[in-house]
Amino acid sequence: MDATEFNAYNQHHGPLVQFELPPIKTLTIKRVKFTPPKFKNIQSSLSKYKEAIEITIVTEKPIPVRAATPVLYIGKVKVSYYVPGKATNEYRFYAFEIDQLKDNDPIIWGWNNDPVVNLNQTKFSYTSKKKGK
Amino acid sequence: MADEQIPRKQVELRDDPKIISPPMVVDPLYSCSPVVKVILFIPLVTIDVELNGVIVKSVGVGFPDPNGALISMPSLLVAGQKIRARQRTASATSGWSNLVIVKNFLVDYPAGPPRPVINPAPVFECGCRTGVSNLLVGANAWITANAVEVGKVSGCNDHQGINVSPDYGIHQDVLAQSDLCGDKSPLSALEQSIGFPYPLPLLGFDAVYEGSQQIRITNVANGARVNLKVNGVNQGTSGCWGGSLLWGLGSPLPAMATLEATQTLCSGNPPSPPGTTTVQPCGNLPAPSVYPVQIGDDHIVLINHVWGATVKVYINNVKIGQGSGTVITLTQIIKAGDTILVGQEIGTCKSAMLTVVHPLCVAPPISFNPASLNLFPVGSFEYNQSGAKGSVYYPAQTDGVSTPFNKRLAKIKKVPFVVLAHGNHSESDPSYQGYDYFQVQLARMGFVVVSVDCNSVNGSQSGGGVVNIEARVDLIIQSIKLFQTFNASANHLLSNTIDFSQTGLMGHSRGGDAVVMAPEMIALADVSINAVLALAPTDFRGWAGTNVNPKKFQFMTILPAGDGDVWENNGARFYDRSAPGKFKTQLYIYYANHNYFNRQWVLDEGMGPARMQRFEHEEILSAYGCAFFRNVLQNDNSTFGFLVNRVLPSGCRVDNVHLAFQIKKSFTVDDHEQAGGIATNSMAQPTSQIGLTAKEFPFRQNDPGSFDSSFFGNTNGMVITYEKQNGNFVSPLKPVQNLKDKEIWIRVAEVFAGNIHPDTGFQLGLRDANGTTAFVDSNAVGGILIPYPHPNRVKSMLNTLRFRSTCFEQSSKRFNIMQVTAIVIRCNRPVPHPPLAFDDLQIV
Repeated sequence: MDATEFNAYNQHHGPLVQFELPPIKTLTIKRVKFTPPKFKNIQSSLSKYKEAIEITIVTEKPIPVRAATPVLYIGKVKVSYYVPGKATNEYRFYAFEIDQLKDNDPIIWGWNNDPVVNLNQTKFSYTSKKKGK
Repeated sequence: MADEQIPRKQVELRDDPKIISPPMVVDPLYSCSPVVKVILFIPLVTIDVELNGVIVKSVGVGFPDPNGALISMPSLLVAGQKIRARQRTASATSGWSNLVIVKNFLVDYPAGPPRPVINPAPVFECGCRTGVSNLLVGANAWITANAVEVGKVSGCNDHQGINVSPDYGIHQDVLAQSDLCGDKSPLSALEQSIGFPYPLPLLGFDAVYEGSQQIRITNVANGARVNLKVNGVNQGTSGCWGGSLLWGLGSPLPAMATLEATQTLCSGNPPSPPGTTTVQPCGNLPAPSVYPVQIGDDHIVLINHVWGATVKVYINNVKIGQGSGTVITLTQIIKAGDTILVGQEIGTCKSAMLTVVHPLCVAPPISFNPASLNLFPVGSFEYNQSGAKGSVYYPAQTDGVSTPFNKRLAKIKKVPFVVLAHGNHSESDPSYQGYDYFQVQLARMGFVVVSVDCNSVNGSQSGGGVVNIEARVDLIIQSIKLFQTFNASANHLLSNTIDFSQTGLMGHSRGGDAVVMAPEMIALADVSINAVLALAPTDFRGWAGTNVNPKKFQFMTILPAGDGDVWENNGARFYDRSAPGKFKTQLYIYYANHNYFNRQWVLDEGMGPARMQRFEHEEILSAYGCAFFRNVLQNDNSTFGFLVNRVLPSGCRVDNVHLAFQIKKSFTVDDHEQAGGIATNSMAQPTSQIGLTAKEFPFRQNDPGSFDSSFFGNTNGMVITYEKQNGNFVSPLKPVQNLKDKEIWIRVAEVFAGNIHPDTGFQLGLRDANGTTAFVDSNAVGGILIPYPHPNRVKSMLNTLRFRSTCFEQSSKRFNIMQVTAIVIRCNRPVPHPPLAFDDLQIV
């Protein structure tokens, strides 16, 4: 059966070039005491957490600035809260569902609204030991 | 789509010369006006004006275009007087027009006459005439140059040309002002006269036809003098405010006559080269082009007509209207099944073709632009204190930075408050300044409008996830707190001016996420958030697994169909779960991207087909955003129709705007949320289906129960798969309903099946107690939207169709609208046909 040009639009495409996430160069994991962000007028939804798994990544380039948010997918856990680190292109992500993190779960890197086919496998996997693989 | 046309000679028309349409008296008429404005009359007729039942004026008039006739009255109008008009030719007298009751203009403009606008701008050195708009009909309007009055018109039109003498010099400060009943308007915005970048352009002409007595000359420089010659004979010189000039001639033009026009500004510079045209023979006179007509209309609207032509309208070959101008009033109401023929005539010349119009059930007419209300000068300032940063625009005494708040408005009332919040973007750009156009528009109609600088949580500092949205909410609240202190301060320019009980929010992108969250978290005394506009919002909480349920405010979301960032159009999730305070509305905008609503976000970053230009994005936000905030925060009912697709705003690409909407005052027949599945509707009545498969599905992403992956909202709905032509799905009503003067609303989308389908549609039927079913086709109410080819996924985005009950009544004489027992969806198209998604079947 023939297809119109319109059909081509229904294929999955990657994100716009400017939205491509830079590869992760290094990744370290550690369990930390967590200090929730403080706001002047509201209480953060993270204020209930005292402890977290801190996943520090260094990327090859800065994370592009856009509406969508970058996410580390660790097994079934989606880790989206992060703060900029001190080093260049360093970002500290925090996971709070500690019990749901499983050793050897692969770590996947993507935007929160990426179609599944566009998510990036990384060379890293989760470990509850202090050092990252 | 081109108009359907037929040759005039193919039909036998009954052209009763005694039937002519009534003209229209422009409403409102205000006390103290010395004139009455009449429009839509036949060229060169006599107009009778009646005041309180007595004809007080009979005058000959010229042409209805461009702006009607101002008829001087024997004395100034007084509130309560009743005015109407009629027109007379040698052979006919029309019926009376609409009746207008004169009122005090302060009823509509409590803070005084609106601010005049020099239109068109700029004004050029040596200009001899200037247009001024945004005037009240009947006011006095004048122009000053360097504070010296150079022109004045008493009893002006709403857009009035004012001759100036002497001509403008270079670098003069030009201002316009008006008064009515001695009550002065604010000064217009300042225009400084500038030199024209010579040479003057060649003048153009619209097509001119044999017998024409009115022609349109184009490309006129603002304030230029235009000279016209016909076959070399000088017709005189006329000043023009610029753009185009409609010129009335003393006698009809013969075929093949040559017209020649030039323009001049400063005498030291040469005139333009002569623009010329030739009068075309009668045989070339086209038929007029007609805007779609709705059943129940008592007029037709012309998209194109020849200047000065008389337009005749026939229903089933019998004349029911004769007039001129862009609207032709009819002597009878248009009904279902009528065939409307429209032709135009100039003198004895008749268009060889007639335009054929078939009335639709729903064809929302173009109305005014809700962004055009322009009452006050606009002041502004930047703020940066107490952790709050941004800009504010407000109604002021004069334009400028930190100019005093408008004193007269301040005496009348405190004004509504709107807070804007941008989204994530490079923190090196002042994103908060990107909505300045929208701030100015809202401020000049009486809002205090803040745009919050969220750069402290943007770009490299943004962080991710829901917490970044919370950070934006915190900044929004901090700005509101700061303006509460300004308002409470005894000596701030915004002291005691803001009504925080009428607060609205607009957020863009992550800012759109934040303005949906803010009402849940704000805890400031005296602040009531009544209106929330989420523009291309993210939904981080939804993505993280939390359903967001916007409630207790009126909600609007704008979804750019070509968004390359928030490509899933998360606002649809908010819309689906919003419980309307009074209403909710969703704009799905084709050929729009994520960024072009913000002037600081310069990249397109869209996906799919080429996007509209930036200004077209802005015009859509301006029109619908102003309609939204005016309706909710200023209680302005005149703009509600825009939000539920009853009327369309002028001045924006409404062809690309597709609405879903819901009002609280409605009766839900089926929203597919009830227990019992497809077998019962929301009224617990048993449904039935034959010849099709109707099932309920979640209309959301990542739900294993979904029909397919094309649904991006957050609700449940019904998908009908066609099995054969004319399958029916029946949803009974209990008790039996009287649907007289009601509407049936239903949301529907084509579920994209891989190719554009040439005739997607269905019929909605109402079944009465006798078993008679009257059907109306979806194409008669606007049709089902062709799916948008977004590269990531073609979505099933449901839009609302309105079916007016009168259309059912007129489609079947046996049908009884007073006793409706069921609503029927009939899949009348041949198979194969793509599946259709439905939700929210309601009686309104």
